[in-house]
Amino acid sequence: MTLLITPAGDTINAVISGRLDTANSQLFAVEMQPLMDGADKHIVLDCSKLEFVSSSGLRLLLTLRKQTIAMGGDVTIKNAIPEVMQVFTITGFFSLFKFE
Amino acid sequence: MNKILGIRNLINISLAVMLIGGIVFASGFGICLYLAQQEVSREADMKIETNIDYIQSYVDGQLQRVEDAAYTLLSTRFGNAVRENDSTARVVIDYDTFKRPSPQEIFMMLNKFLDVNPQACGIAVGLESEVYSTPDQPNGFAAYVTNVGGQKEQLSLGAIHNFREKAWYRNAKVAGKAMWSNPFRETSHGKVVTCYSIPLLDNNNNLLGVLAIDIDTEAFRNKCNAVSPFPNSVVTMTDRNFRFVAHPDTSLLLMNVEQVARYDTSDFNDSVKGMMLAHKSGHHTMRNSQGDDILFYFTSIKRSGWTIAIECPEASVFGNIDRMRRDTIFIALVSILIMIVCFVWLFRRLQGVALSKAGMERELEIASGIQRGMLPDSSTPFPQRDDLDVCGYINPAKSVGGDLYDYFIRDNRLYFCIGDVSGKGVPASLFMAVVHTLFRNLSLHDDNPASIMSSMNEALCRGNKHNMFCTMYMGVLNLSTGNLLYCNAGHCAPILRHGENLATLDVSINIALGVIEGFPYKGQEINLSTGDAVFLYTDGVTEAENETKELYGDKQVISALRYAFMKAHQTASGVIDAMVNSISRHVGEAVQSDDITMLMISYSGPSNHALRIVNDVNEVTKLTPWLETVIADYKIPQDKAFNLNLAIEEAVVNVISYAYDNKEQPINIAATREGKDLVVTITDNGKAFDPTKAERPNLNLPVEERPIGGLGIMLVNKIASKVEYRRENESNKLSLYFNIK
Repeated sequence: MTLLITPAGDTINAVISGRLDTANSQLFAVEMQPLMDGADKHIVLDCSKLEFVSSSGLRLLLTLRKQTIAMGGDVTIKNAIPEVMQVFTITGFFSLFKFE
Repeated sequence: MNKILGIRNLINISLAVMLIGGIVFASGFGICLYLAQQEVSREADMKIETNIDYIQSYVDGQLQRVEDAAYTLLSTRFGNAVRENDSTARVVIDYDTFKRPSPQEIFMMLNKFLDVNPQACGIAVGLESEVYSTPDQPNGFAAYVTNVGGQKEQLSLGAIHNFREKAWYRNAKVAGKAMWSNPFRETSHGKVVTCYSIPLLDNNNNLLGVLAIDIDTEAFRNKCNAVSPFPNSVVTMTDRNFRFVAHPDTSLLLMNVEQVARYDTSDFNDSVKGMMLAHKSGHHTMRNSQGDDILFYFTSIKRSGWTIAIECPEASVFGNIDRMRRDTIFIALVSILIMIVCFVWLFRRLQGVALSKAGMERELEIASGIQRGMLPDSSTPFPQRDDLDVCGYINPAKSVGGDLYDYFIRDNRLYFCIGDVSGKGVPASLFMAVVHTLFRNLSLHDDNPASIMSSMNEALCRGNKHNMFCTMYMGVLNLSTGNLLYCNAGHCAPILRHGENLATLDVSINIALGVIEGFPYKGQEINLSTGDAVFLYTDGVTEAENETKELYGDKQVISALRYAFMKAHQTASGVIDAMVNSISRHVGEAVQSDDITMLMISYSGPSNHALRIVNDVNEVTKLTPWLETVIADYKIPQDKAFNLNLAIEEAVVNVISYAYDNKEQPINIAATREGKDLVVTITDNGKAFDPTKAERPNLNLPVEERPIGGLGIMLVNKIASKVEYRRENESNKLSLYFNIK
């Protein structure tokens, strides 16, 4: 799992690659700290390279989303593969994020 | 070696038979010979006695005729002659009626007598001077007429000598009764004669004269010589002094028996002489001077006191018997010789056959060893594997057989087969070796039983001039999944054990290998679960016969197999042993008629699909590669992979997070396939927790109110087609079912 964060003014672009599973979730929690810090901005998560996501990953995404709500930002998920999208759908996360 | 011993036995038996045959033959021959000897001896007795009686009656008859003629002459010519009795004959003449014929009349009477009685060669009458005298014979009258070959001569003996001193006259005078003289040679004509002298007495017993008649003994001799009951037999006649009256050798006439010394004289004297003197008949065996045994038969002529004897060499009597004995012994010896020659020849031949047979058997043993060597060793099939237990058993009816089984693992797949070649013995075993080799080679490059079978069939059909064929069942068991691909070419269907059930495996109808070129062999498929077992066998099992020709049969196979499993023969070799025992109990002492082959394959789950981790989040990384093999092995479509991955991870993470209070606690994960479903079971020994009863998060809450946890269980429940939870033996068993078709 890699997370590539590129701030661009009001927007922070982040590219998530690989698997966001339980094993990687702790690493992700550390790596997404810049996003947590910039939760007042528009965070765009490019999930085109995200192969897998588990509930642990979802929890972190939910944590990030809650932070943006607290700080006035938002989270947009784009280019998620159908399998990942399906997970968002099943878990009802579909309504919590913006999707592109 | 047994065959050679067999031949030794054969030789011993043959010798015994020869010996017993010889003894029986010899005894039979001996008894026959004895009986024949008895019979011949009896017949010889009769024959000789008949001959003796014949001579005796002839001689006696001749003598009696002369006697009768003499008395007739006396009574008609000389007055009242009375013959007092036969044996002590004498003639009493009434002196007063005595006719006193003239000398001429007397000569005429005598001449007439000789004419009428040709057996008499001479007749003489002498009269005392007181009774009769003539001028030329004043001291007593004696007239004598001889007839030698018709030449008559008459003499007036009283004029020549004192006839009263001569034997013919004096003997009768002394004896006072008629008597036959011992034979003597008559000087006047040289013939050996015997003389019958009759005293002529008056009423006062005074001698008046003597009538004497000479008989030529030559006729008797001719009679004796004419008789020859046996070759080399000799007929003799002896007088009262044991002088020969008749003998084939005329030079011995009138010689004493003892002078001739043909026999042991003392034996003759002791055994025969007394009997002869007593006028008895009999026979006696004597040894002659050459050492030959002579049978000596004798009888007497009371009238003259002579003895007729027939001497027969025993050899001539029993000559036929001896010849028979000699011939038989010769034939027996020749037969035995021929038998021995034949026997030696036969023995050499048999020995040769035995040696060549022994050599062939050694080669067969080697062939059998090679054949067995080609089969996998069932004692420790795959010690490194705990998911597979295999045991094969083969027992050829002959040294080498036409059955085969084989198994080996390639690419985590068990390739196995069982086959039965038509026929038995060496031809079947050669064909079987070809089949075996083809199976091994083709299985190295192909994992589809139907195509392997087809290739084998093509190879076997080519140049199969002897129309051999092979029924075969082969399978390829994917040890990772339990997926079994198989193809059955005319072989009996294997028996599948699934749980407690035993059932014959469904098999398509394919023709045996080597029969039809280009036959499209059809494969089949089944998934084996943990604990499933396949029992393969050849028809030698079902057709094993007992002494009463009853077959072991399909039903008995099933029942024996059920019993074998029930008796907790959990190992494949245990089941095979139990089956072997069951079959041999059925067969008993009967001769094994066909090769018996069995192969048992116990599958105890895909070992690759079990994963053991501890309750540490980092262990989750092991799930993905493990799941990849499961997906690959079960050929699960890739679009299912994501969800499987997700659900299993969520379930496992849940256990890792909550089951245990302590670290390093075990969690077992196993994947199996049941029909269309993949079943993943997660087992832990931690706190009881039933995820199926967990509270579902409310998905409609706004972000701020959404709980962080509970998503994992929800995902599991959403993705799996069924979730089962069991609390067993202080452990949690969570089974997730996924539709993977």
